[in-house]
Amino acid sequence: MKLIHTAWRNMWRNCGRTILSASAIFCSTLALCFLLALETGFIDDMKTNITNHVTGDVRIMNKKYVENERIMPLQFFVNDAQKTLDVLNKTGGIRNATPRTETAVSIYRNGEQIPCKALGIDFGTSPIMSGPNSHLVGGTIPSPLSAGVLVTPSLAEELSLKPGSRFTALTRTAVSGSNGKTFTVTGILSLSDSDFSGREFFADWRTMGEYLRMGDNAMQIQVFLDKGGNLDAGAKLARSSLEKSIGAQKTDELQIVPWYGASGFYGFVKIAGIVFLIYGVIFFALASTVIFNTMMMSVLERKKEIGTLGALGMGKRGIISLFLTEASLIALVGTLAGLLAGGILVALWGHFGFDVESAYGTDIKGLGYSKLIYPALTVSQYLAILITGICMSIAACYLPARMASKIEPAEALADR
Amino acid sequence: MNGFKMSMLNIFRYRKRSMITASAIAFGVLFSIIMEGILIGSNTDTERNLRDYETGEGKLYASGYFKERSMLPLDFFIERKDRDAIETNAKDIPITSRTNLSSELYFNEDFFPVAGSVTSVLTAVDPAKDARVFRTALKVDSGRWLKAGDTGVVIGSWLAEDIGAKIGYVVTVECRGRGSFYQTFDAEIIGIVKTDDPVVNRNSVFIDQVYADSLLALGGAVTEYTFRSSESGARLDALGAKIADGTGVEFYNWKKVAEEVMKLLNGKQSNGGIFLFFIFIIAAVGITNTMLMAVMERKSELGMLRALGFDKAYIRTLFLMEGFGIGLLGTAAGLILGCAVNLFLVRYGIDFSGLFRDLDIGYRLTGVIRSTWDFKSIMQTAIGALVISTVVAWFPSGKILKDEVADILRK
Amino acid sequence: MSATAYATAFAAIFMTALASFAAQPATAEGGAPAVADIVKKLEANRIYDTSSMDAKLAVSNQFGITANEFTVYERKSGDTLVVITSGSDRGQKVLRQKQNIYLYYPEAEDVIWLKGSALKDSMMGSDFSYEDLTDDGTILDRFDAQLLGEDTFDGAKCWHIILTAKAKTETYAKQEILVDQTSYVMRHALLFSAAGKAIRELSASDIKTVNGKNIAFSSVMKDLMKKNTSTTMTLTRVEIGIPLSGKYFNREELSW
Repeated sequence: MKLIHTAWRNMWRNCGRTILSASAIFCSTLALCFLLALETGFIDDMKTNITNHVTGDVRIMNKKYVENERIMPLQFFVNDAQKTLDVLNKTGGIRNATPRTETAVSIYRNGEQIPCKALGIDFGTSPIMSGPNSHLVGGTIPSPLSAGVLVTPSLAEELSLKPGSRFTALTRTAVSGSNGKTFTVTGILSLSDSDFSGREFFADWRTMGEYLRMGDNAMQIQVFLDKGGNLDAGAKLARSSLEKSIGAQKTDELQIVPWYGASGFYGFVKIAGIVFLIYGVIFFALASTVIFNTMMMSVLERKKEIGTLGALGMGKRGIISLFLTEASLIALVGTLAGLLAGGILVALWGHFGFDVESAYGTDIKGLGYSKLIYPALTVSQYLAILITGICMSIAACYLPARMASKIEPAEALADR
Repeated sequence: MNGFKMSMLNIFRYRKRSMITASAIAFGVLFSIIMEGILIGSNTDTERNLRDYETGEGKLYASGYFKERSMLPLDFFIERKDRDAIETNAKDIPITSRTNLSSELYFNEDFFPVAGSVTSVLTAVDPAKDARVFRTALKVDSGRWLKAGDTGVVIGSWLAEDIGAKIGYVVTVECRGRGSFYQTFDAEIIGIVKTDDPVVNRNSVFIDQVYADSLLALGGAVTEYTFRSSESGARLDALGAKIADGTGVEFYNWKKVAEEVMKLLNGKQSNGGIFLFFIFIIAAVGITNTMLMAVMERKSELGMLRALGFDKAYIRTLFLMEGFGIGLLGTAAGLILGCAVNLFLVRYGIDFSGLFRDLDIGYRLTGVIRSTWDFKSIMQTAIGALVISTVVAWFPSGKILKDEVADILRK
Repeated sequence: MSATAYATAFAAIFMTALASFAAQPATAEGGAPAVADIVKKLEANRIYDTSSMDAKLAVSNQFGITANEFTVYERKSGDTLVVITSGSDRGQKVLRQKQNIYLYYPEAEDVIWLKGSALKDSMMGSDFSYEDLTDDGTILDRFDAQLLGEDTFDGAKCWHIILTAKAKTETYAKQEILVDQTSYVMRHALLFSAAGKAIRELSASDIKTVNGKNIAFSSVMKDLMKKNTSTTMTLTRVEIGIPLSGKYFNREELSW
């Protein structure tokens, strides 16, 4: 206790220098808070986009499709889709089950064929319509079973489409044939998801099913669990619920997996984690050079004082402890101040959103993220930063502290 | 005494301190270079992979081919006569010819775990020249690249994985020849390539051009020429026009060839500014620290200088130069180290491929994150570091100059 | 209609249409007739001003069997119209005029025009391309014919003939056919790639006479590269020489 008291008093004896060291740590902590929060925001956002727009919390697809995915065999859809949806929607623990059919088509225009993606969804229940990253920019939602579609802004721009425009799209079908249909644009749907930044249009899933000759079925069902639901349990729940209603044999045809089993996303998260760990080390390393510097100065300046302490009987270990404690306290002050400021910054940004495009825009397809990110930090992350900061400072100050301990009392006192 | 000399001597008076401060700057410069390199690198990676494995800087096609290129048509050929002209026009440039066509690869249980077939792109190449234009030949994962006269094939790694292929296995290729007759041939897999371009890994089957010529009755013709160049923009177009001169072929630069992909990507220049900003804040704090201490320690010395008649501006300049000097040392060290590490990252990169396997094919990145040389940003970093070091030295010096000379000396 | 279905359909029709309309007896002299004569008889049977046929197509592959029905209208200039009459693709039409293919889909406002390389596209996703819809020129112009001897197919005595393509534009470099000696209908064909590998096999049976012409009402096409795939085409109605309105072959009128 006395040690801490002494260290604390020593700290404030040379205010300027202490503030300087602390501010270096403060800046590092702040930087780290911001970056970590940004990363978390990014990942949360990507996860939201993947689950809302592609897989759901749990994804249900025909096993045979997944096995033959390379050739995209449209004939392997989810059979009895409507019944399956009804069963799932009635299951406790499942918040929403919605159909999704995606395929590649060609838009026929002036003798040319333009590749495009087509997505069949239930406009009433799909988060593609209702999610936080969706905006109906103009027009209206198509009615069920109609030939109305929503188009992405970039498709609208490329083909000069607006509500009322029509275009013909060709596709191959689930019966190994082909089909062509003229669709009518009813509106423009903008999704803050880089995966939907190209040519895409959205139709009612039943219309799509008929267009692709798969009847009232869908390629995939997105299942959303009640908030906080465990995903593996959710998948099992969906499976058992279906087994009871449509039988084990039919359920066995289906692959039912949590979203991370159906997406390469987790790999990215791992990488991001490593990358940001490195950032953390870098920032604190930089700050450490400052602390090292100041601590060195401090030791050199207080040679006499250290000599006196030594003469009075304070052992080498005691001196090292004294200096390390000083370092820790400075680090503590700096980190806490940084966390406080960082916390406020993160809270503000978390509320208003951080515009990624203007500051730092990298577009990676397959990792759909929005243009607005909401940074956030968990308690454990705050703690991690605190501990890292203190540890790095202590590590940086070890050398000066040892130097201090090596000072011979007689020599120091004899010095001018 | 020369002010500059004085500042330099001062720096080395407090060697340890100067070194530590300089190293803070060096760190900052080092990491800025690397991070900017990686950020810009991953942005340009798709573009670079496109050029390294698919488009080169530009392509030459026979008239009519470009529009239909996604169908891999066998109707528009560059004949021998034009080929000779092109090769003459481009004799100092890395250039190679290829023929691309759609094919079906059949495999059965004699070699493979399960029988089946898969659609692929058959590419007839000039094995030696191809290696000068495309990086594919450098990316052999097992087996070897093609040699002139080979009758075997080299396939992409993901294709190999999908069908369970190993070196020595035999596949049957079905495709159309020139004129559109059906052709089939058995081919031994002599090599598997694992490139940075998923499209190549997923679909490609490479075969020797001479062998393909006899199989497909090409008559010495090819469907495209690809070349590399350090030119870009208008100069690149001019170069393409020069190569196509006197022939019936048309030149398309890589951006045009990859139009669809570029549209898909909506790529944007990333701004690593935020990282730079924070790094320099920290470095600045370090320098300020050093300067403040320098000032405080040398109070009497400065007072003496003032008493001797050196004016405020001169003393301030001394400090600025010290700041600059330390900045220079740190920047130089950071530049050297940064460039060394960046060199490694540009050539080898960091391999995350295992984790990237399933990401969407649109992005030409298989998981090796490589850096790039962006001299503009490196210069910006260096200059920024120097400026910050100098500017930051301004404030501490101001403090001491406020005091009266006598007061200083008295203390 | 199933992909392979159409594909096979047209190849089958082409092959079947080679069947003799008039059964011609072998030459009175002893010994085999000249191969050119056999081929000419085979070909001569293909000459008709107009024809209209109803057919059923069943395609089976590793994933199952799909079945469809369609009607074909043909006239001398080579114009061909296919109308799908049953199944989910009912109402779709494919019109071939020289080097152009026009697709009509009931739910599409535009008539899709395929040209250039699109002609080599697989027809409705099948193994055969739109180009297979077209067949101009006589056999002897396009192939060198060689009589190998006699053989039996399905109990019928046949001439065994090898046709070697003269130009590289011929889809199959070599064809080995068995021509029924009585009806001059092609009973069996093996189609080869340029390397001499048999890649498709066609068998025809159920010969009937319509307006004095012999036609095989049932054909089976197998893709020898892909195991377990085959297409069976069965004709249910054949009319030859009937008047056909020009509107069948008019692109503007496809939406009838």
